[in-house]
Amino acid sequence: MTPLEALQATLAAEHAAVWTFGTLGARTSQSASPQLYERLRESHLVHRNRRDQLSREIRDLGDQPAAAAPAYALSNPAVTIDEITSAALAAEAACTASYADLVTHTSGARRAWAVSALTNAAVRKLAFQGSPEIFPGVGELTDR
Amino acid sequence: MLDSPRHPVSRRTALAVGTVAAATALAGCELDPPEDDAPGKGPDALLSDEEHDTDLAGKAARSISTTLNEVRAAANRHVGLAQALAGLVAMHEAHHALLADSGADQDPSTSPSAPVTAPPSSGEALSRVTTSERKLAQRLEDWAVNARSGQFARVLASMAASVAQHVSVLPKAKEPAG
Repeated sequence: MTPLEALQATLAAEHAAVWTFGTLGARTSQSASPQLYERLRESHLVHRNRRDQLSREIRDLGDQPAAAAPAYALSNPAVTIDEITSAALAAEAACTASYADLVTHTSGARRAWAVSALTNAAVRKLAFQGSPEIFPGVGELTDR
Repeated sequence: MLDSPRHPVSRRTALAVGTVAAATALAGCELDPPEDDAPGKGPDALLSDEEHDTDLAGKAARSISTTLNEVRAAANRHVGLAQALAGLVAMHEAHHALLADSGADQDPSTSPSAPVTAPPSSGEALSRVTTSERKLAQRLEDWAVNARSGQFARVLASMAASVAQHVSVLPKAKEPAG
């Protein structure tokens, strides 16, 4: 996989995350669940920024950023607070894995950015009832 | 021809990076070719990619071992911290095991590092652990950026993220009493 292909794959993950956090935020009551609402809003903002950064990087490399899909599948019905929290956790997990892959296929400044984004996504999982992991984003090492 | 004395790479340490690749079920993947935006290699330019990453693996294993000893010292001296620090201990042991299985460093429990004494105040001990962990996370991130193998970089970056996760759930260190 080339760095450009890896950037496009990560952008696809961020498109999904932006849609997911926007959708989950719209299903969450700001008055009834203010803490969850704020965390969803913050994640939405973070992923929008990451999406925009990736799009700029791809354009700088002379390619066209992949377009977002009209909608994405959620990991569960995302109706109850627990389901919404779980869906948010799944979205952050997907981004964590995507940034780990981006680390693999880049170097220099791009890799440094991916390393930072990986850590950020991994820590954001904790806001949605995730637990600290031994090898976040590296699924094949989960059982070690 | 004499081997370079600056970078003695034993057969055991040379296996370390390969072990990481095998552990990630990616053995046989070629090292990533350097790109134009790669950082300057400096004196390390004389090393092969495998030697360079084996050297990084050794540094990472030793740094993890040192930090683990600090965490254990704090947990042993302050029983009240033991539970909060248990996750860090397990994490460091797993990270070290991945790097050390094939000889990147010795077992952390037998490493000949200087004895560590935790501060008498539990708050100060926790603060010191937190500082050490943050420094380790930064070093792991730096090594991830500098690794020649993309797969090895991914593992180091994941280790850094793991440390950041564990640090973020530590209790807040209180000001040392008196």
